[in-house]
Amino acid sequence: MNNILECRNLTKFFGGFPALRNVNLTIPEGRIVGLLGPNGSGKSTFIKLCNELLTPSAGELIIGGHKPGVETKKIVSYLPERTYLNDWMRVSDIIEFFSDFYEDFNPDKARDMLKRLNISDRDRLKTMSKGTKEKVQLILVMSREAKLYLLDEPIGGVDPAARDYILDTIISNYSENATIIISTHLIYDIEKILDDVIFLKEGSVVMSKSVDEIREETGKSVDSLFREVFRC
Amino acid sequence: MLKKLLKYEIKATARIMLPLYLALIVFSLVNLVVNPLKLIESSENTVIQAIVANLSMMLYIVLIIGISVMTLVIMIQRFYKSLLGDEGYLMFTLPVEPSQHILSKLLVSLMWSAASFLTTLLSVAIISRIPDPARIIGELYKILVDFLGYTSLALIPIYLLAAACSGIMMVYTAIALGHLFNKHKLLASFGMYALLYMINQTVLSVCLFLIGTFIMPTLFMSEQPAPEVITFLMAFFSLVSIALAGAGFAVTNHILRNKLNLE
Amino acid sequence: MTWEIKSDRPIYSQLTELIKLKICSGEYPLGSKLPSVRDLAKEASVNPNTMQRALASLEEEGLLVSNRTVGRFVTEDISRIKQVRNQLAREHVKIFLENMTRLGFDHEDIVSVISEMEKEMRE
Repeated sequence: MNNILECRNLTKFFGGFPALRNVNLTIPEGRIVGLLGPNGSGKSTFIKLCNELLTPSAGELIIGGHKPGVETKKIVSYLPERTYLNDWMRVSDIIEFFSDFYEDFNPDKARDMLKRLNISDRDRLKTMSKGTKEKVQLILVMSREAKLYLLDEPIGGVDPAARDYILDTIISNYSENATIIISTHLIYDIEKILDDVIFLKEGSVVMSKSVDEIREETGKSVDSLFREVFRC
Repeated sequence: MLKKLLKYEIKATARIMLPLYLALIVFSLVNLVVNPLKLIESSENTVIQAIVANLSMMLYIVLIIGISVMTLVIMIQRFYKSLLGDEGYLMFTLPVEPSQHILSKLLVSLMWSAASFLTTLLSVAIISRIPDPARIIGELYKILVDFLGYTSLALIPIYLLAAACSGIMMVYTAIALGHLFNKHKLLASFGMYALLYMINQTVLSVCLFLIGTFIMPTLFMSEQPAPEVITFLMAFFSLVSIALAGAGFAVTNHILRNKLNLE
Repeated sequence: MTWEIKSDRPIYSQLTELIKLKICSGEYPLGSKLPSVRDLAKEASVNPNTMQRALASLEEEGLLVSNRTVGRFVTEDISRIKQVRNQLAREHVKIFLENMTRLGFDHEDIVSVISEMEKEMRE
């Protein structure tokens, strides 16, 4: 099986503060991976490094055979933890934008999913609530037939119904053989859809295992194991 | 990809600039018909006429100032917000090189600067009701050719473009440098602009000094006709502006590529 | 039947059990076509890979038959299903018996309590 993402001794300093320390990871194709850790453990830093929104201080990061850059951006679909949509745009504008820039974007799929939320092409992003904008963003991201999806806190701060919608959308839309990395601190809700988990603590990887391995070995859910590992 | 970036950039800005241009031109045409200055003269102190006339003059000035201010605001905002604000998460994850982002912003900014300049000229031409514009332009052209020569005349737009380029790149470089600060990024950008402005002025002064001491005397001694001296100066300063813009581009590109740190 | 998944055991083995139950109870009738892996995963809110693993192991057990082009079907081998049903029943009874023994019931007590309960429930 090929690896979609590999990093060796990946390190990132902010000023003198290490946000990520000597991270070594190998993530194969076709997995759903949970990147778990409390706030400030380096989850977002890792995801930003994968998107070239940050540059490593040391170490190496390879995605689909390339260092982060134009080539990796073609195959990585990224959902940041904030809304980046332009208020002046209509839904049709943003769909055109994605079609223009991403070869793997499937506009019909996006329109179809939006229609199911009663969002039409003519709607303006300005008039949407924050929650709706987040859903639109998720739909755009999942309508790409990418090799790697990087979802940063996709279920943070949403109600349970929206949470179900988001998880359903993720499971039923990612392209075959693609890998999904989901960063979150809300493990309970997401555990069932994960193959593997990576625990990050203060910028270091403290565990990297499959969910069923953890359950078999410890007889515990990932959620309760997480609570033990990160007990204050 | 640059083409697509340009298309999107123009789409995002045209919806603000085009209505402003349209307003200015329509307003100028209305003034051509109503003629506020005549109104004032012929009013014999009819209060309403005077008010209308003054108001329309004021509105005209506001529109002209508004266009130049908007051109500047868009130049800054489209770089600061769309690349280094929340929108940066979208823009920098597109499969596009950072240099293309800078180039697209620069080209569109140049386009609007030129368009604002030309629209303002056009409106002044309309409002001052030149009786025979073609003749005036022809005469103006003759005077300029006599004074500057063809080469210098052709260099004017090139020089203006080069100077605008270096001016805009200075703004971008200042914003990019300000981004390196952990706090008060906007304030830092203003500080950086002041610094860059000083550097810019120093470079220009040094150039002037060098020309004054070493080149000018030889030029004058060789009794070259004036147009050639002007041609030389314009070509020289165009090159200096382009070099400054290039340096700014290199610095900005380096920061966006290697030092990006979105909030 | 809902997809209730407990947190302390591997998800994959729980899925296998749940699907077995659905087959034995007739929710997925003999010879019927199963929904796609994606749809099943979505229904159960689990990872498609895990669902795939569960289905593959059921194939190995002979409860499901897969046809490369058309999809997955419940086996038409009724004896195999009866066998599994029997096996599941035995597992349940085993746990039941263990618990009853712990409560101090001997064979006769158990039989009498069962027939008593059955009578009550019928009424």
